[in-house]
Amino acid sequence: MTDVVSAPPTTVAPPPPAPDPTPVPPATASRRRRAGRALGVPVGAVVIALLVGAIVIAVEGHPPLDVYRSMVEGVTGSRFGWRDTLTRACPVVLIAVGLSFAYRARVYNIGPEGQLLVGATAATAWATGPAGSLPGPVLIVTSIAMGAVAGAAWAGLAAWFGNRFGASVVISTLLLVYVAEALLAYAVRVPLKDPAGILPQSRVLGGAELPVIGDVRLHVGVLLAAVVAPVAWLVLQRTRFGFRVRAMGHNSEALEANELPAARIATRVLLLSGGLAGIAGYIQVAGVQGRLIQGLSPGFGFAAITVALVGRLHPVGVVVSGVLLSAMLIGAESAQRDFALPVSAVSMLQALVVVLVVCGDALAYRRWRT
Amino acid sequence: MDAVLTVATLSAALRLAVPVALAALGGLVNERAGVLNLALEGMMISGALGGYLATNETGSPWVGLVAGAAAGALVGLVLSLAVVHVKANQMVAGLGITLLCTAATTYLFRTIFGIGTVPPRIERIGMDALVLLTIALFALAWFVLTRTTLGLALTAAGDAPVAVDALGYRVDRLRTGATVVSGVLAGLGGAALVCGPLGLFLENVTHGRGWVALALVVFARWRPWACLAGALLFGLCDALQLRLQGQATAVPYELFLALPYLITLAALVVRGRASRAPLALGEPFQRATT
Amino acid sequence: MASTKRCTRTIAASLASFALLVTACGDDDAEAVDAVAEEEATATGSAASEELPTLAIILSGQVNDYSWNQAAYDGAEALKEEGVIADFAYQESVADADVERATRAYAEDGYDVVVGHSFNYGEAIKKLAPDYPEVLFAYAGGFGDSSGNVADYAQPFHEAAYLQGILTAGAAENDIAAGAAGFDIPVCENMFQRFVEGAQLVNPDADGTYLAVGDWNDVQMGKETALGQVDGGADMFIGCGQGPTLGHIEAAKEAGGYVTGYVGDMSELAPDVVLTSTVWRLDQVFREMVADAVAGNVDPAPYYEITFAEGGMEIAINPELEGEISPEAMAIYEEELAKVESGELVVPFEVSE
Repeated sequence: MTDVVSAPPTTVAPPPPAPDPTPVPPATASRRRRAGRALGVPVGAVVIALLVGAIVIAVEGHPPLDVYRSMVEGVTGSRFGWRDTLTRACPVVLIAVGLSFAYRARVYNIGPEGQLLVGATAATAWATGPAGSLPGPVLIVTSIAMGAVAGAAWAGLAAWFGNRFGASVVISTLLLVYVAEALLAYAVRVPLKDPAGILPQSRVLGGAELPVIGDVRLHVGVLLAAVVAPVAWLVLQRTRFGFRVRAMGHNSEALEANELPAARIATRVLLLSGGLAGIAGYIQVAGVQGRLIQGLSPGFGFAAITVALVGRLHPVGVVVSGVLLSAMLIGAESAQRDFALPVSAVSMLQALVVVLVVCGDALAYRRWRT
Repeated sequence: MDAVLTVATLSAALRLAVPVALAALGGLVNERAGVLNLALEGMMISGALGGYLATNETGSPWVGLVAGAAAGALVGLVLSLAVVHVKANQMVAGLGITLLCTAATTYLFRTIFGIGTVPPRIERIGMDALVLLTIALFALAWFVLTRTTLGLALTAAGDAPVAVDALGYRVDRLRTGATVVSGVLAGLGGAALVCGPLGLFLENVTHGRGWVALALVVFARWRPWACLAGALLFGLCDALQLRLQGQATAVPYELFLALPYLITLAALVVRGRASRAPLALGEPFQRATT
Repeated sequence: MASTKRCTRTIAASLASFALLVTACGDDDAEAVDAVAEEEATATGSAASEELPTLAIILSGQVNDYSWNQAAYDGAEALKEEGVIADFAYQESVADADVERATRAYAEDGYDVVVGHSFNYGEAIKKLAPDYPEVLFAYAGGFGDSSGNVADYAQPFHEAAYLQGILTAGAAENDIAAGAAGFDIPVCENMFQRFVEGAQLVNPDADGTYLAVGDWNDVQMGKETALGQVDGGADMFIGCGQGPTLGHIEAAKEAGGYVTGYVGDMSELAPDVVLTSTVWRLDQVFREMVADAVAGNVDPAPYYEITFAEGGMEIAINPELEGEISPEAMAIYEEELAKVESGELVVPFEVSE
């Protein structure tokens, strides 16, 4: 966690070895015990949150069980529940996969929200501008690339500030979110604005919109996320780059002695996480919104931080936590509609789950007693 | 262009700076002790609601400030329980607590005042008093952090917890204390916003000022006076951009909106090299078992 | 290793209790399902017998914001009380990215009219509308953007603002307007421009500045924006968005001047500074939508352009401050009001490129 606020690894004495983000259980722990912990904590957290929620719901004057049934049915009960769950999880999972590389290398990019917005803006500029006449598939692929490059560049800016000037990555990525918001506001008001309307929004993406599958029209961005996660796992486990990322998280000094400047790895993971955030931005525009609008992301970039860490920085864990948190949200919306629950009551429960999971994790993996 | 650097601009800068400065001081104390505090925003909003409710109840905004500080302290206690004692991941726990506080304050406010009624406006404290209070708190924090053994122990708990432990200090206690103090200060910041310039509470009234405070701590290189200066600079940028926007209509206004952040970034880049974070920031302390 | 064991035990215990809880829930569920099924049966039964339509609204903020969102809630509530609709449902604080889901859910549940009350909701609603050809959808575009079974509805704030400019100039001394919006959008800019033009009927030298606060809900920034304009002599406030307007109230309390309430009657919020308020009668808009949905006229959906003259918008003058308005200004106001109401004067909506 040290370089959360310090200068990048090249300029500062490396941190003392820190607890592994994915704690290795003692050798005696069986696989089953590990699985128990991996499942037990989130399940326990959800149960406690539901019990607390039951009290809140009862105070609001609704029968808790009916409300919870409505939540479950919101996800499983309709044709669109599972599609909505996956669609909502898609950008968050993509970003969180990138973050799991960065955070493993102890490079704390907390501004993927900004990278997402810039990626979406650049990709829209490309798709509605110079590339508009390209044939569909080429247009989509180049737009994705454009989103990735722009998102990576935005994160790369933070890497450059860090490596060249010693500015903290955490703070520069965070500040760049605000700058990206202003950039997006300008883009939809002036250069990218749809001349046919008066609203601050881009033209419709048309041919650059993502193809959809099935009668529920699941956009293919979801498939992309589903492919990216296992590939990321392979990269992390089987490649030199993955090894270096993991090594940097453990001991950047040793890495530097034998391998490669830590600053290089820091730059690469920032580019990677920024690029994935940029792709997520384009997917949100081309798969869900159809146009670039200011309210493009309800904080996907921030949600992804939680998803990445709750998923224990493991690409597969990230998919699981991303989909589960998304399902909770979809279910909660349904309950909110059915019972006119205040949205704040629902958000409270979601936040409670996050806090409980992270505390439960710490307790379950505690290997020491003072 | 008219002069934009007027007394009015400066006082606007002060009004904008005070809540952020107090929260930033809270974050600073906490980070000095080695705990990263991403719950600052949550502490601020809790302090804001606490301050509003208490002022509304008693009619005294000073009671409101105390209540705001107490509400913040409560959040600090929860955070310290999670990150110091349970040793949960400081980023997620902090983010989660911020989400929790934002939702809980909105929920409570609505449950208390309902839909369609006008919540009462509360008595307010003059800005002079709040500015003096802020300066006094910064002076106190500076004195304690740099001139007392407690302050040195606290800072050491953030730099070399193992050594502090060997000297007989309880690292976890120091950190718990720092986290609660951080809650007091950030809660005070939220209450200062509501009991000072606003006189009302709204959903999410602190509006991300806690995040700005977090950035200011790094910007100030963990030093109290620099932190106050940073908050003033930020407030000044905001006050200036609002005045410049009306005059330089040829420039896209979005540039002015981004100006405070761009300037903070620039300052960060210029000063970056010299920064030195507490070495054990974000690391839970664990005694070696024997 | 003792700790590991203890952990495992704790987890096993929690899993066991979870299992217990699940089975317990299961039993309750069975009963509850029956109860709900009965309820539903009676509910649909009564709805069918009365055959009243239903309305769903999707809001971008909290329902109790005294402003934009509450106007929609109040409009729906009014129709319900009148017995025009059987009931209405709403979902609040819906992000732009989430609106497709909310809209679809209401359409699937069989609501006759589904209104997305934000200008950013349009594209998402247009994409799903063809799936539900019998439902009338609407979104708050405000520029005649109706297509298929998605209606647009007008936001004639500029008409009200023109008249409010007259009244405010009749009370204020400097006649300098402080305009503010969350972000610069045409609806807001037109409000400001027409406000100043109205003021100029009273005082030809009336003028003002119009700024973007950078956020629709940040009250402190709204207040500081206004105080900055006050430095330039501003004493007539016209805000677009909840944050800017509430900020105006705070600024006026300190520095003097007259505030224009945005979308809802805000004189109750601050009786000492809010001179006039715009009251958006969304019940009138929803009433026409519901009528069309009942009659089956959903495609092509009209542009619901309920103008000021047609009662879509009202001006509430704060009775406590009414005496501050000069008789001359009041006379001009009455005159212009009559022209607007008779249709003799159409307050223009301009879009600058």
